[in-house]
Amino acid sequence: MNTSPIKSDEDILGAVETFPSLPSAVVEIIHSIDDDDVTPVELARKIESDLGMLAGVLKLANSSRYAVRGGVASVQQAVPVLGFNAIRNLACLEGVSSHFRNHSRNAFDFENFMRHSIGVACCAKFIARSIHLNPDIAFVSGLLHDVGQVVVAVTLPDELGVVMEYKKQHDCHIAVAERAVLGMDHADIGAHLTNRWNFPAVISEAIGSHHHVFDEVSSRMADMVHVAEVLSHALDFGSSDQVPPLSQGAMLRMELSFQHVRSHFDEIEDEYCDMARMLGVV
Amino acid sequence: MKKIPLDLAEPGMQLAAAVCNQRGDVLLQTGCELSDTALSSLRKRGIGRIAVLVADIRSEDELEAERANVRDRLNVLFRNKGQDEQLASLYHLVLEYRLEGLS
Repeated sequence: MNTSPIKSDEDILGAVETFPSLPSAVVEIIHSIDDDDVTPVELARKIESDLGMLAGVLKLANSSRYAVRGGVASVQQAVPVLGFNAIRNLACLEGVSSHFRNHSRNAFDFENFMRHSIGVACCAKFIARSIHLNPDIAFVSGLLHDVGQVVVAVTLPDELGVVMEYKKQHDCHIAVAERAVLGMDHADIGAHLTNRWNFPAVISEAIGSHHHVFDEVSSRMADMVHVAEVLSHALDFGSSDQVPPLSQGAMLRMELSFQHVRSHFDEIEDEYCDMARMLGVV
Repeated sequence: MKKIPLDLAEPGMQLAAAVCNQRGDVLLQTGCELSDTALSSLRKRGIGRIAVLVADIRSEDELEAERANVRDRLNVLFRNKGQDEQLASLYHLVLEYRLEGLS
């Protein structure tokens, strides 16, 4: 018996599509990660086009470990001090967290969601470096890998209640419960939305495949986000429930063993703690 | 030495490692005793964790209780790992990491 009040994929996707898309400035900045020709001036212009983001980025820049004496008053001033990629990552962090904070409803635990997202982003960045993937694309993919979860929580609260009951009864991972109840999981929903929001294909694919790397040929970025999520749960970032199942295929394709990243655990946890503190979700 | 979240740091604790900003500039030196002012400054700078000397203020019983807590928590997190060798390896690596500074 289908216990979900919603019967069809079309109904579910129709509901999640009512969630507001990320602001265009955030999407443009995410696109710039994949564009080697973007200059610091252009990045500054994109950040300054959204006053909320500009204020947030400067606040993060001045309240972070990166901060310098006297502070920074503009993006142009901050780029040479903090570094181009650090500013862009702060802009993504600020844009994504503000959007989800503003649209959280239905008792959704925004702070825990952001802790988990930051944890996976930090793990992804370090794993990506060790297997020669772009660490900034990895960071954003990790940051947004569970976008489908927040959208389901906000747009389908009754169905989420059934999912959580199933998860509790079967002591299973949430993606398993979502597939049983909704017929699709938050990764599928995340890919659907980020495609609609015009994300770079590599990031949408990683979001959509991070729970589907067991029996499919997936991209290295998807394999990496999957493994980063396992590592983040193991390090207990964001009130973890349990370490999810691990794809041996993903580990083999990446030629990775956890021994490779053991020496970075301390560094990863430092960065995770700093970012959680910056965003006030400690 | 133990790394602790800044929220758990208290005045009087001694730094086991220097606190630096992203550029490597030292904000507080190794051995510095934390004051209210120093803690406030670190909070403003968004520092998430610091390394402090704490081993000398914990008894063996307290350390054993902390080690037990670490194992209990990891056993909950990894309760469904089954026979997966990579997850077993990850369990042991995280356990080793969490037990650093608790011996």
